[in-house]
Amino acid sequence: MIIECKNISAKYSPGIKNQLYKLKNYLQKQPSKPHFPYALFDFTYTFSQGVTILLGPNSAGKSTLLRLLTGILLPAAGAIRFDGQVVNPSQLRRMISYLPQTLDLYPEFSAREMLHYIALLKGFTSSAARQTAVEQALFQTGLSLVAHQKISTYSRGMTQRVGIAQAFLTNTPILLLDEPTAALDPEERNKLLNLFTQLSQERIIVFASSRLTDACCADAVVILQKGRCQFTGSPGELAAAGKPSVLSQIKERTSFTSAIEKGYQTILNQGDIK
Amino acid sequence: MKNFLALISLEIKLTLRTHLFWILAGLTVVSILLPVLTLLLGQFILIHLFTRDQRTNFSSIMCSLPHSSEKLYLARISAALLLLLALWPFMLGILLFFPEMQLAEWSNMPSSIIFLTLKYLILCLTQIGLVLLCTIITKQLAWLYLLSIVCWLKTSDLASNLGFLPSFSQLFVLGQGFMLPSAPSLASGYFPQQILFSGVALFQAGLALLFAASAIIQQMRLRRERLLGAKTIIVFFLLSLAFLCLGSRIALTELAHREHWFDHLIQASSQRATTAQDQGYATFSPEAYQLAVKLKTTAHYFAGTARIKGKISALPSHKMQLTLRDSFTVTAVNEITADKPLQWTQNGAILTIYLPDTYQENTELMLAISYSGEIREWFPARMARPNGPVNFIDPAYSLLRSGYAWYPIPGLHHLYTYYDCINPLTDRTETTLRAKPVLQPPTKFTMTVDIDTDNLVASNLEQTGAEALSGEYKERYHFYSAEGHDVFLLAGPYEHQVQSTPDGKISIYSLPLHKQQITRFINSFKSLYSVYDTMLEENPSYTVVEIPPFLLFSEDGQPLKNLTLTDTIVLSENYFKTKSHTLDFLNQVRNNKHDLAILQRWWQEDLTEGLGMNKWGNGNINTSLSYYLYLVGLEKTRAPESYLQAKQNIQAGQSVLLDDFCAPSLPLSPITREVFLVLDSLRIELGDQALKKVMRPLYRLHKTQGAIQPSDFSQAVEATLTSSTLSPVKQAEIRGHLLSIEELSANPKIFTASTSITQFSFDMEEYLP
Repeated sequence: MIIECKNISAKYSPGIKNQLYKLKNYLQKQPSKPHFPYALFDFTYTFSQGVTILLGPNSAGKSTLLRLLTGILLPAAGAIRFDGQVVNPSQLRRMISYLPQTLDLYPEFSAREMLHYIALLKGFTSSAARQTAVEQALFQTGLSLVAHQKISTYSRGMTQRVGIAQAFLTNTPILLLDEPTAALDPEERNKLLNLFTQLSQERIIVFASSRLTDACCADAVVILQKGRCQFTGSPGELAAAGKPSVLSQIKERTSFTSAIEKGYQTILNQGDIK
Repeated sequence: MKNFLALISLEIKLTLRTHLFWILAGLTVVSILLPVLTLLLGQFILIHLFTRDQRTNFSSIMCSLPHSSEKLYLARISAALLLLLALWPFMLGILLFFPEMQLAEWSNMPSSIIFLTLKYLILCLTQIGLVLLCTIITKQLAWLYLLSIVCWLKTSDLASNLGFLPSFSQLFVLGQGFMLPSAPSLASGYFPQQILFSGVALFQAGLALLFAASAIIQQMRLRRERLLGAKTIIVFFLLSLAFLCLGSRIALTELAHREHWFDHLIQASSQRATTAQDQGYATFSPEAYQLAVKLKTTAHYFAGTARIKGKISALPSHKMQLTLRDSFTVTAVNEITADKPLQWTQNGAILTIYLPDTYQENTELMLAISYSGEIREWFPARMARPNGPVNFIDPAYSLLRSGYAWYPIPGLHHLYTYYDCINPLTDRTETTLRAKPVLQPPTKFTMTVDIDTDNLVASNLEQTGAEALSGEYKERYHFYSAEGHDVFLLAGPYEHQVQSTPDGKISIYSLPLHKQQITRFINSFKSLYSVYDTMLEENPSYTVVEIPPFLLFSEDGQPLKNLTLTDTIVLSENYFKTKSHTLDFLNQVRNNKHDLAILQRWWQEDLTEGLGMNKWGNGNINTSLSYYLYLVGLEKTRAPESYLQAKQNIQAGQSVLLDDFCAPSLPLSPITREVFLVLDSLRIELGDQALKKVMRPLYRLHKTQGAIQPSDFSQAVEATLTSSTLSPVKQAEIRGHLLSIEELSANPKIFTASTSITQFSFDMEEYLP
């Protein structure tokens, strides 16, 4: 499966963001700049099987892009095609699993009950199949032992894992996750990234992250800045963007990580100049 | 299906785990005592339920899930309905087991409980529909609560004042008033209200379905789901259309029928001549009545034969008129002595009998008039009096009121007076009706009542015997009075006992559940009896009837006290449901109700009807006499300072408001003020004997003519003044007040009704004993 995004743009919703932008200019005593009304502008890319990471500073348009891919937002321009076809929202929802950036669940439920509820909404017809899927998702996210406890007693990281677990409930061909590694400790983060790698054999996984180190597990990197796409390519190409010769010199992951960081900074600096 | 039920179960589980739900649920259960709050709190519960996703921000995941909105909404609506219905048994428990109160009589009637439950179900559906409609407008929590409160306030306002509204609006508004799970007084669907209830219930259910379907469609549109595939929505729409059409047709037809009947009555009342003699009809003076009544309660059917013996006192023509309520149809008129039928015609409430030419003046005449009818009368809420159940035959209770011409009364009498009233909502003058008592002078009266249930029959006549029957009818009751007048008939699940008083006896009809409280009543009664004693008549005999609250409330929840049962103390069942209260002021409230009931027995006036100056125009003398006697009783038995306080207020021209919860707010019309000052002067200067001297003749007049005219009052007072030792100055002062009364009566003010939100009032005097 592939997801083709062609010249898609999405505008900011009116109101609060504009006001915040104006307030920010006022507080910083900056002259009023014309506010760029697009959260994402003229984005063209094809997502294919494997893990794609969306990188970029805050308000770069990562979440917007994910929401466009889920169908929650409609593009103001351009088109999104799945395997060359435009898909209606009902069909699209059956193809994707989504984890939003701001995750809130029903605090009165336990993790198990929450997943059962979501599984019902995801259309599990058989209670046995639902049970199996829930337990598997709990196991994959390491929540089996605490699944009976109420979500209100969970830490931020545990809640995040419940959110991830609900994304894993069904074997949808597309997984869209917004900051899935936020609030996870390093061990959990690594486990999750390894899981992505496993699952990406037959899926498109797109996740947004503000941690550059997450790029190590990705097959492709997309960097967004101020609503525009600044870079698409492999992590290696990103690492090489900072220093072309570095690619051959990378021996260890830590070096690779720092190379990625350098490449990332270089891309952003180029974007600022533009 | 299993998944759907699993979803409902999870929704319920989730709601039950929130603290706010339990707080709201507890308040909702308790709010059954103030039913209008049930409507609001139920909406709060539903808002809490339906906005959960927005509140927890779960909507950010929800919008990406592939579920169908109709399925989710249906599950939530089902869960909401089940949760609200689960509160009902607790509400019933509160109604049934209110602290310090015994069970109400309606708790013995499964049909009442089923009816109340049905009303509550419709209320729940209405609330769900209303909240879903609000969620179409906004899903912001604060706005939803605000919208809900505004809708509730407006609806309560409308429902409280539906008597002032034209028929079409009543369709919606009546629904609110109807569907409130209000006091069990409105529990039983007796009368044509049953037809109206079914129509309004269907209409409201249809509205709820329509709103639910609209909310689901809106959600589906937001999620860009295909509408055509949603079978449930189609079913909802079709059902809602069917219910709306059918319900509105039934209700509007019934409302139009009532309006038409009401307008017809107003027209008929305006067209009649004043007396039969004015039109040249023969007059007939009855000497003895013999009434044989058969009640088929399941069919609401009355059949009666009235044998009237009397003399023809004037014969300008050989036509004679009698008045018989137009619910009844005359089937035969016979002359008993000659044993031959007479020619007759019936036009509405007028029965015209054509006497043979052989009849002369002073001829004795014995008539047998057979008549029957299906009796289920209900006065519409249009500022009319009474407002609510009038006369009815029903398996649970049957009532034929005093002075309502349910047996033929010789002469032409008006059943209603019509009066102008300013509608406070439209500011227009409208004409409405007030029932006018058709008085029958005291005469020898014998009555038998055959009834097809085990209910006991009560009357202001003395019960002389009872016998079991076989066949269609189960019991026959015999009644007799040497001076029977303005007879009423009340059948219910009563027990009867007779107790002695210092000068006579007291006949008590009580409900079996509460007979233990009779002694408490007797003791309380005796203390007041010692005040009034023989002030009004020699050897008074009393009948006391315990009345279920439904007879004391109109369809819009307004309390009624003008039940018009001759010579009978009418006490609400609530009075008998408990012993003493822990809180003393509640005991005082109850005592006041008891005192007022006793007073009303004499003057048949609702002392608490109308509040403040000029509410009922200038007032009338009957009410004023009642009011004065009430204050005298209060002074001598419970609150001596009340009389002085009332006097000060009257002299200052202020509305009388005695201690909160201890005495009701009483009307202070200009005539009441003048009557008070006259009687006060007489009592202070000349003592209680002077008061008795005035009251006695007035009471006798009241028995025969009903309303006391200013001239009657002046005559009674003058008779006392003439033989008194009062100074000329004082006498002149009193005569001045008498003159004011005559002037005020000659210039009646047009009555201005006022709006209120009666359903807000936790009317302790009615709801608590």
